[in-house]
Amino acid sequence: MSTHKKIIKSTSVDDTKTPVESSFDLYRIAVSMGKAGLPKKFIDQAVQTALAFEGVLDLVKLWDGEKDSSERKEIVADIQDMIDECAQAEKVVAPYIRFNDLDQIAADIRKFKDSLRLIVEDHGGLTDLSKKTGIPVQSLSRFFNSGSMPRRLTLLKIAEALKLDAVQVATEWSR
Amino acid sequence: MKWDSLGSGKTEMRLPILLQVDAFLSEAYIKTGRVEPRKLARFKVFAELIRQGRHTERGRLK
Repeated sequence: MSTHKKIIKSTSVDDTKTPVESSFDLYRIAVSMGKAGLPKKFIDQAVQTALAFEGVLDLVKLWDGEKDSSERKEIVADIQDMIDECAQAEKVVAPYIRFNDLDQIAADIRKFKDSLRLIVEDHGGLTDLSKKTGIPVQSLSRFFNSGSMPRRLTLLKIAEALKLDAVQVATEWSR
Repeated sequence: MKWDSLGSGKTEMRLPILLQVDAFLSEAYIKTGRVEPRKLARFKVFAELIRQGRHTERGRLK
């Protein structure tokens, strides 16, 4: 079914930080993001992270050049993902997961997220949660609709915003 | 970057790999629609985090 193929290219990843000349563009885009209704906290974090990580700057510029609203939502969710990734200060060695266990783990995560989503709906839904956490609705929507492992940081933000206890946001598959 | 072709070969799974002393398999994805620029931007971030030792390691191939 699957055939191993060749190396397409070696993707070059620039070591340099965000060039100074991009800063003006970055702040201009930040203003556009504000006008588009994205949370201020998100924009602040996006700018700070883009100044340190060229990949985040690339995403911010992609958002700026994108006309399709659904694609823009995906980019916003990507930026939030990267903000959370970049908050990790050190290396973490997480448990190895066997390929044969993936389906069961995905089902467990789905069940957990569905249960948490019900609690969120009881507290006003995703729009209210976005206002309380500063996480864009687009990112929250991806969080609840995807089968990916939830980040502890996101769970803590949700718990704090909705005043939930530890049990309500506890899952063994957070990362 | 490596890729696998799945099924009839119309579906491509991209496997971004960062080569340092070790080779790091980063976030794999299915190439659909306009996903590529976003995924490459994400890979840039992951690569920088790996360089800085701020990544999550989930297993090693032996």
